[in-house]
Amino acid sequence: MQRTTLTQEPMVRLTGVAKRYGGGVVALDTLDLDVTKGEFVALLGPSGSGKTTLLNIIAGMTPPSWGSVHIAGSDVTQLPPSKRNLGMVFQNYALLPHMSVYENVAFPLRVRKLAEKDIAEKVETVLELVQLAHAKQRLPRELSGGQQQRVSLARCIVYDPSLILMDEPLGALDKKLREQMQSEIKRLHRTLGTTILYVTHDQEEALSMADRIVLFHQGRIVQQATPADLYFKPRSVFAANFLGASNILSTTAVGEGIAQLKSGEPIQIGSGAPVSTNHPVKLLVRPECVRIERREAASRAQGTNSVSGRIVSSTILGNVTNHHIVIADGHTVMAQELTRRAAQDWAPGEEINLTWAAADTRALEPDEMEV
Amino acid sequence: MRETAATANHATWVSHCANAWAWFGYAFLVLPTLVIIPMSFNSTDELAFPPDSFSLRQYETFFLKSDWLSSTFLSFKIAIATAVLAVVIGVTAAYGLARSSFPGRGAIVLFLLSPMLVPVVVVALGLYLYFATLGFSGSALPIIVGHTLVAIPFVIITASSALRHMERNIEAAAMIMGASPFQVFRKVTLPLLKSGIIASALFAFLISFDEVIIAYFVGRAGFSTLPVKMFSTIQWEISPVIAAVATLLTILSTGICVLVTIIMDRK
Amino acid sequence: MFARTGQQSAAFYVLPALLFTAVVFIAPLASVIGQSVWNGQFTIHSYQSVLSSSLFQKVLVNTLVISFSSTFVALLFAYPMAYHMAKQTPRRRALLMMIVLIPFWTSILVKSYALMIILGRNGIINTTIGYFGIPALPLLFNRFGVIVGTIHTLIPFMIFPILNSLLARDPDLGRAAQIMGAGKLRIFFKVTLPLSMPGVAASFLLAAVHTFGFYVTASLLGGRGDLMMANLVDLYTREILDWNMAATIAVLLFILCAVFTLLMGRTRALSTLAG
Repeated sequence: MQRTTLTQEPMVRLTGVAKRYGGGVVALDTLDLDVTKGEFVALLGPSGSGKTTLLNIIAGMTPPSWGSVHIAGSDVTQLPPSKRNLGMVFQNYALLPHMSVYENVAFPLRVRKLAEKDIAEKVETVLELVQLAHAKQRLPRELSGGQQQRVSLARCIVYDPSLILMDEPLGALDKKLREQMQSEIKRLHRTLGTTILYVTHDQEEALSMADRIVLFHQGRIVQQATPADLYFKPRSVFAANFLGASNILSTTAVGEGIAQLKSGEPIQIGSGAPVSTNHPVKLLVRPECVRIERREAASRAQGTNSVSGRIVSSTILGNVTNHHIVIADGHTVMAQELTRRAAQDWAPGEEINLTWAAADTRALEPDEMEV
Repeated sequence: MRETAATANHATWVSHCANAWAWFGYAFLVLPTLVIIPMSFNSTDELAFPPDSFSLRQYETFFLKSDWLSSTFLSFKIAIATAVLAVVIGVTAAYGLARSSFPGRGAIVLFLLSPMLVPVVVVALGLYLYFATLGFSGSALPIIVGHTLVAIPFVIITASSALRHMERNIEAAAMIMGASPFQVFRKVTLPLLKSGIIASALFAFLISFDEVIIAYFVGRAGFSTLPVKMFSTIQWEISPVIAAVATLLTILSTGICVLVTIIMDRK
Repeated sequence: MFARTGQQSAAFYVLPALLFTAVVFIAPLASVIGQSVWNGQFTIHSYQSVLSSSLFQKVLVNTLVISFSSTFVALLFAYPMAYHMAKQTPRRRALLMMIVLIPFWTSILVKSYALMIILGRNGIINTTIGYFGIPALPLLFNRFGVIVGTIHTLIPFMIFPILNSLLARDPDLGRAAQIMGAGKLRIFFKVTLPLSMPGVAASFLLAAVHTFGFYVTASLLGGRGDLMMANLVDLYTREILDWNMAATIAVLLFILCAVFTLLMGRTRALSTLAG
């Protein structure tokens, strides 16, 4: 984690930014956001959650209804996109189809009126960096999707913008190529130290690439944290569900750090939102934290939760196996184990106990805007 | 079951009839023009179908009699000027309309397309009276201006549709990379619109080259375009040289149609 | 969506066209209107004399009769042709499109001349039936000739909007028709035809208005009695040299077209053409 100290001037500062369209449609609710120099921030959320609107506001393509946008310390709210010194990578590449790879990469330098010699030098360097030096005379349509996206990356980094915006840049690529490009973008980010704002709806992509994830839901930021924090300490049911698989238990708080399933079994809470006695509370347990134990062997140690259940089904997904278990209150819980011979011993219908550490049990805030 | 089969037969029969009728329609559209071509190779000055013998006599008349040729040159000059003017004015307008939103935009679109909705003869009379007061007689300018007016709506429609089909993010990307609005227009939009622009230029050329009424009203002595000369000739006699002119005009318009189709397809 | 600065500058691109249209279109139209009411002083005398002239009344009726009957017959061709085109594979449709597009872009003079060769007293039709001893039919220089010529021009003009509305509403027309089998005819009358009616109405009115201003067809294929409004404008401009009358008739022709265009706007049919 290469987090820079927050004492210096933020590269991007959004203050009270909101976007509302005619007819009262709220695309983006009032929000503040700071991005530190050199940071890789993922804007994550389902489609229509406002993340692309925010990106367009920063780029200057959509004027905000309220608020101000500062980039590198100066107010750019009224500046056109061309004056903001940004780079942007689009999902559909947006390369200039009538120009060669070389000319595409040279384009931002030409509009900046650089000398031909400097242009050639810079273009060669970045094409080298994205491993496309051999293809510089080709037209975009003669390249594969991955190569086109690398051209579009090269075209961005060649003029060294203070900030690069990426709008679902890998959305059009297949899974394997996507993973390859993810590590390539990470490598460029490490090498160049550019600030990157990366819009995606793919939680794995956000988790694996970003220094910080800003999670959007219905035009609002619901949480922002490092990938690990967002995974282990989600605040809401939405955040818990959006990142990774999750078991959400509906319980009632019965005391400080303790809740009860409808079936009466007690659950110790390890962390999360404060609970108030006799109020309903949703608890998160990640499937990989749940152990399946034989009824008689189940541990009753302090700091361990244990509920009874019955195996419904088991599915091998490759290196992991998912077990579905019905617990006493009638809900289905998923337990995930690494796929081993021993993990196949559970037969459907078998009565077992589920155990997990109290520390892995997290109380969630109720969602304000649950659909 | 038998009823269904009967209905099916009935439907098939009706659809055969409809198809035959459609093909009759295609024939009605195409055949008359095709008839002209053999007529143009007629050796005699009488119109007879089929022609008795093959000869290039009518083409000789066309190319060697100076008045036909000078009308043709005049038409070419006017049509080229019209194409250039209409494309410059029309494409910039289409760009402005496609890439902006301002109050009254719909009214402006309607205004710019309105020359298409007004009968040409009204425009022609207007230009005739207008230029008579301005005193532009003895020049091709009134004809060029009138033809440009008629061609602009076509150019705007063609260019607008090309702009609508263009990938919008490409312009946005250029802008974000630092290109000014004019640089985006010059270096990105125009090159991407190339085939649309060529197509609209060709159609503007053809509109002008074939236009009769405005040229007939506004053109003065010594400024009769090819269609005007053809029109006044046909009114007096069905001369076979007209068949040669008509054949050449048909080849021109067919050529332009095919060319436009190829250009738009390649894209 | 572009930044506000971009939107303002883009609007300037419309200016040349606005200026050109204002100077070359609005000013001449104004001078036509001016000419119709100005004869040394303001007067509506020419309107009184035009509207009461029996020649004008006859020509107005001619114009309406020729326009509407030609448009109606042209529709009888254009609809089945558009439907036939809609059913084809895109490749074949593109080919048929060429068949329609080429006559559309062919000079009206060429088309009229071709019909003169075919319909004339010594034309192809009369020569052919002459072989069978049938006496020559009067096909040219009369109402029939004008209507045939007008139909020929209108068919391509009408096919495009109808084809658009057929394809817009049912891109899988061909496939659907095949799968439905026996229900074809019913589907056509219950679904396709009603759904395409806005397109048909639009193309009908547009074609009729377009025809009000026809000039070449009537003057080449018609007889003396088949003058249309545009021919009358020409007659007063060049032969009678009465510009007041010519301008008045032009204004009335313009009003006639405007009324029908507004009617078209009222049926919201114009919007189907814009798409």
